[in-house]
Amino acid sequence: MKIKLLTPMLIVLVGLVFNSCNRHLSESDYVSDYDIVYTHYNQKANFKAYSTFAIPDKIPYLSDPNGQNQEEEYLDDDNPSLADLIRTKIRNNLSGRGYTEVDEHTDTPDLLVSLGILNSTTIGAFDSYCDWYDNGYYWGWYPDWDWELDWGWGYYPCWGGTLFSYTFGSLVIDVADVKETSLTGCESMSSSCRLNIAWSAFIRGLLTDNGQSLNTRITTAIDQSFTQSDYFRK
Amino acid sequence: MKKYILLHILLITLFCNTFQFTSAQSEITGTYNFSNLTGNQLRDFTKDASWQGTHFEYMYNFPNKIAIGVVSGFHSFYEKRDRTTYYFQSGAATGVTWRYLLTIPLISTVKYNFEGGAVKPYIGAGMGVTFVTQELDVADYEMSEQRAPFSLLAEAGLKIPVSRGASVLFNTKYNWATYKPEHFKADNLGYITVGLGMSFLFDR
Repeated sequence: MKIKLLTPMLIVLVGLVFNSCNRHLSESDYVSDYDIVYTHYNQKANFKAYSTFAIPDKIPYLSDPNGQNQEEEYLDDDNPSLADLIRTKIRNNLSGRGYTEVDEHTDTPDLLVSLGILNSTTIGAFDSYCDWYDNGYYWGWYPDWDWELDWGWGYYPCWGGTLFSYTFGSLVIDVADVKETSLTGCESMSSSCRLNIAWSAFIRGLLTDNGQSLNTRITTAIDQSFTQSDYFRK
Repeated sequence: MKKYILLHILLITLFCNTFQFTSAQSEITGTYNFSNLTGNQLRDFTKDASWQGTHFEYMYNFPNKIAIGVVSGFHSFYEKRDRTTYYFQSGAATGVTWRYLLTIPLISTVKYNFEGGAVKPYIGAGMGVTFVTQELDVADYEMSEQRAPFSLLAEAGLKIPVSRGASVLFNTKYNWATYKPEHFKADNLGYITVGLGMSFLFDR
């Protein structure tokens, strides 16, 4: 009777041990899990002293999304509704905190909002059964079980594998103190160029979503950037 | 570190081959472990309980109830923490974080096997190193650190023979290591494990 228990016990134990190797368990990851909001402020800035702000008409790509053209490209050309949504959300947050919007072409604001978009694409290979190997740990020599390749032992840490590609998009919001900023000589990087960023936000997330969901994630993230900056109010 | 591991293996091999006891037996053990962290700061870093752990042991049993050997394996602690805002001096960051703590002990152990009938208790102690990887992921950013601190181990267990040479085994161990990472907070590394497994004796 006791001996009959041996085989099933061994099978269960081996199964449990293999389950232990799984790094991520069975939890689900969502696209929004990869959204991050980072804010930074100048500790010398007196946010109560500012009264007015201005927002630019265009949101440029800070890096060329196609990697070919030297001319400046704008989110407003690719996705005007998203560009408007971003500006509206920032405008509402600043107005809600006691600041008044002025036209940057006719008035000199206290705070000048600068916006930019950064996109970056990552391509790589992934396999859940051996991703600990990526950190330089165990599973040194491992059998190569990829049907496409020769059967046998190889210096291959993964069982088969999957290629992936993902694009992260970042929205950069800089709010400059206009009185303390001088753009003279900035193109030549001379000492007369003086940029004083009072507050900045870096919002980053995966660009693999449908439009409506992406808009919701971006507006939620913009709100979050102000929520976590309670000092930024009149 | 490689020198330490090689010395570890060499000493055990030499010892076992030098003393050719006529009734000495080799024993191989494998256990599936539940683990629980004991240090407060590491418990803040990740979930303190883990069902992801295993130990493998090779022991050399002498006739006088003493056994020496080596134990290795791994324990993986993991937590996906919900979106949280972390404040610092000049700003804040909000995001979901993935936290990992992987430990791989390599410990020389000594055990004392008590007389027993259907159930055979034992106690043991050991010392060695534990390879520790601590990692924090936010989106596609990753911060990780590897250390191999000095480690101590204490254990107690029960063996229930089920056939000639094979036993079902229950044990509990306390692992402690002088873990002081540079980028993370940790007041040493300590965890208790409860293991269920099997051991097999082989005559020399």
